[in-house]
Amino acid sequence: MTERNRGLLPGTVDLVILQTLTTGPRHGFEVSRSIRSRSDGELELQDSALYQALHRMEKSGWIEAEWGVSEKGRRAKYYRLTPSGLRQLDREVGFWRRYAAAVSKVLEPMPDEA
Amino acid sequence: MADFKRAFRLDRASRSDVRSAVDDELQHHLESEVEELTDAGWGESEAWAEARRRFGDIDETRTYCARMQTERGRRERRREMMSMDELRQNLKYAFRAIRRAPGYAGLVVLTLAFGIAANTTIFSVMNPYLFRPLPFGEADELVQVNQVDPVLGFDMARFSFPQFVDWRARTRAFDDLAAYNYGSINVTGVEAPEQMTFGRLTENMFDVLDVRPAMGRTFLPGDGAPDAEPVVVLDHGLWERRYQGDPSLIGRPITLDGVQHTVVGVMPPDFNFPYGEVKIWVPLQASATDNRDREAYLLVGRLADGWTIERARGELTGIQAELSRQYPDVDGKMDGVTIKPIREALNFAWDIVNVLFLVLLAAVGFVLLIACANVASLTLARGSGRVREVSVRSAMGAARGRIVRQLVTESTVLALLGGALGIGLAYLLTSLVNPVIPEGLFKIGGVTIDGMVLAFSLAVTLVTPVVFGLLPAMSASKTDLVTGLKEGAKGSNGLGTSRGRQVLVVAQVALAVVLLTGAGLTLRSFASVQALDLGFDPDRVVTVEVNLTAQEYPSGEERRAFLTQTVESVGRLPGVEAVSTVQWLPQNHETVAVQTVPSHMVGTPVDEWPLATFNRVHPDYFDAMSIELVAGRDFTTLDGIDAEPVAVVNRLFADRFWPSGSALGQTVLVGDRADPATLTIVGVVEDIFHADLNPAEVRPQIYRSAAQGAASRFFVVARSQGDPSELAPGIRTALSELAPSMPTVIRPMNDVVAENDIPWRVASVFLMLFGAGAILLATLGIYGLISYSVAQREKEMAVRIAMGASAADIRKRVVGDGLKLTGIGLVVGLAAAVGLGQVASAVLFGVSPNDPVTLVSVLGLFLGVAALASFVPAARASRTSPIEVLRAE
Repeated sequence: MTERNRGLLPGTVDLVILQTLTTGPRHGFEVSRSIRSRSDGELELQDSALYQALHRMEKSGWIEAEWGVSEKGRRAKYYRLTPSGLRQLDREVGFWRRYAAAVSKVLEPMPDEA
Repeated sequence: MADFKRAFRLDRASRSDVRSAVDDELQHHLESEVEELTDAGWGESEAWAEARRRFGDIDETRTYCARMQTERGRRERRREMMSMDELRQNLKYAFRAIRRAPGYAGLVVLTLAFGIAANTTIFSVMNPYLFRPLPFGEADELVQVNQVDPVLGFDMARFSFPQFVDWRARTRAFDDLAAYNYGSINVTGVEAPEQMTFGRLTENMFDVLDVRPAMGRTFLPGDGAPDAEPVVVLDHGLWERRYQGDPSLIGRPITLDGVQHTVVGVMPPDFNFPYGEVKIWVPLQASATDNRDREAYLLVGRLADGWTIERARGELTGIQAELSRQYPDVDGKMDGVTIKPIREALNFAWDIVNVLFLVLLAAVGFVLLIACANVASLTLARGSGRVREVSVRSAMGAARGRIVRQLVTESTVLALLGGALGIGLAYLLTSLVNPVIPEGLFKIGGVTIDGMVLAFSLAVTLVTPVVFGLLPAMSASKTDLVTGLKEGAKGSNGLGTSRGRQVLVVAQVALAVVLLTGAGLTLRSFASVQALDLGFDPDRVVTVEVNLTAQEYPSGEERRAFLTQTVESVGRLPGVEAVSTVQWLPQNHETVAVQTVPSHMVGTPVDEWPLATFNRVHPDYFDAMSIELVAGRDFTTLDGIDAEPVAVVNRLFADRFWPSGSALGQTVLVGDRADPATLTIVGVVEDIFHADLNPAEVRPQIYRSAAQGAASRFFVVARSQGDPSELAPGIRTALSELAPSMPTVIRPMNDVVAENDIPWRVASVFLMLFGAGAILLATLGIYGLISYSVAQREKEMAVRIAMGASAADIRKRVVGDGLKLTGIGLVVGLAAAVGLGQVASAVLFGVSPNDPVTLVSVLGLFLGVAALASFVPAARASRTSPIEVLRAE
């Protein structure tokens, strides 16, 4: 089984989800909305892929879950970052910044070709 | 916070719980999405369709998430199992629980200690005989080789030195073969003369056994030559005791049977060959040209690579057949080869010892099971008092596995305490057992608690909480939360454990019945052995072994003269009623059989001549041993070397060959191959048990006059008028005057006989001890259950009393309950005991496995004990005050 995503590069799903949880516990629906609003709608993660990623990361111990009651009064499963999840996020952010910087450097026009 | 988290971690439960948790979560997402859409103006059903479409593949996600959750749960459980944190906490709880119920804990620890001590003691007794590594290199390659003598029906027949030389030269099955035998030797010198057992070993024996000396050397090639300088290797214990551990002894001479031997080495302390009493080893000095039919040696061999016992036996049987053709008169008499592993061969009571150990091991196993049943029952009873505690803890969210683990931790702590106490108790028991263990049987080291025993005890200890703790723990953790919280406060029967405890009590009684029946049968066997009419009376008889050395008494005349002087001089001692000599002392593991034939049957082939147990005695022997003279006369001093050769036979001998007439005056040929003699029968005496205590081994017996032989080794037997031990100093003085350098070992005849009933003696002592423990535990079990059920049924009792039941009615009822349980246990136990009795009938003596006396005694004993155990709670129940009980409701 594979996760499907739309608009998100492979390898960035975990990064994005972990980042949204840095501000506190959220349930799945909030994570989905938060990703959409923070990227001004540019990034969209398909719900099935989101939930599969959440459960996979819970198994890995990066996040942990707890049942609680949502603002709307429904029973919802809240996820929060664990210390090991925070370390994973640092690693991924670091990698992503280096990768993005490298890519942008490559994209700059080369003097020889000018 | 941690507890809160644990309490609400729901996804750790079953597969269906995992599924529904995932479904709840996804449902929540879809509902939130639908709400958003309807807020934006979508219709209800379009909103649902859209939400599902946006979500993607729901089924795939459900399956995936459920799988992740299951894997996570599995990993977490594993981690929790290992968690030191939890262990520490469980231990803390366990100790707190023990402090809160010290009575319960104390009883459990004591009960387990008893069971574990019994097991540890028996194992530590078995260990040196069966398990402790042999003090030889690669001992599993070592075997002993014997021939089968078809005429004697004896499969442990020995070899002559020339036979050994031939076999050793021809075999390829062995890296090497060595020969040995053993006997008595007199050690003299500056120290007091001492009689000892020595081994005579071919010079290659130490190499075959693969052993090194602790000091000096063992034998060198050439030490075994007939004219070599005599050398000797000493036992470590002997060197320490007799020579004060003086290292300068090496190279110095000691005197053995009047001959100077140079001490060349001392063996390490654990060396033992061929059995514990052998303390001195000298080279076997013999030559291939010696007498071929002097079959005096046992062979030990080291199997070559790739050779099994079976294959080696095939090869040796072939060699025997070849040599039989070459020497039909000597080798031809043997037919067959026996090869046994060395441990089995050196222990000449191997079969008896094995059966005995099996019986004892089964007995202690039963004791342990009873102890566990008792503890399980106690734990169940306590479990019902803890319903509330367990319920509260599961209400707080403790998972079932967690509760089971905690209760098992508690059981394990109790078991370990019991184990520690049990091992301490076993130290005490083994120190009591050790002096009773005979040296004569081959064993490695003493009965001590060593690493192997400790490992065994620890294993036993760790098995007990599984047996006694897991069941109650499982049942406790299944507690229904609501009833537990509601009723637990009242300590009611929330766990439904009454039934379980009844089963345990029945099992306990059944096991104890089997054990006690076994103990009873063994005790009856022992009594039969003791009551056995041996045909002679060992009471008030003392024996002295006399060994005349060839140096001091080279001729038959000198030896006969010594014998006569000894008898006369001992006979003059005050308090001596009768004195005589015998060459082979009865019950002393020395039986010599000869072929004899009455003159009228001389024509029959020699191989078919009947066998008779042979002995040589001095006049008055039958008197001294209280062997009844049936007909004719005893030997007299006139039956000397120059007189007519005469014999006395036993009743069996006389009846067999002259069934209708008198044996007196008849002649028999005694088939000593080299020197057959014709003897005239002058007397008939009563049969005696010579070889052992087995009635089937009472054979025809023939006695010759000691004065018509020239034995260099014999026993003086003296019957005293009073206490036989008072004779010892006088005999010692008399003998030392006659032969100053001869050691005197005085043994009461009762001790000689007692060596033969050791298996029954040991089994009776242990089984009675364990049986007593078993019945005590079973009684406690019955008492505990009845008291408990009386307490449970207080209200019922109160109602009965209010309705007019008398105190006697109540007592009868409660005692009846106790007897009913005991009755079931008795029936099961007696059936099992009778079944097992058939299997163990080999160890019984003069008693049937269905012995009514034993069975009825056990039955009566248990009913009595059960009645007693139920009576105390019954009396309490009958004093119930209905007003108070009912008002308390």
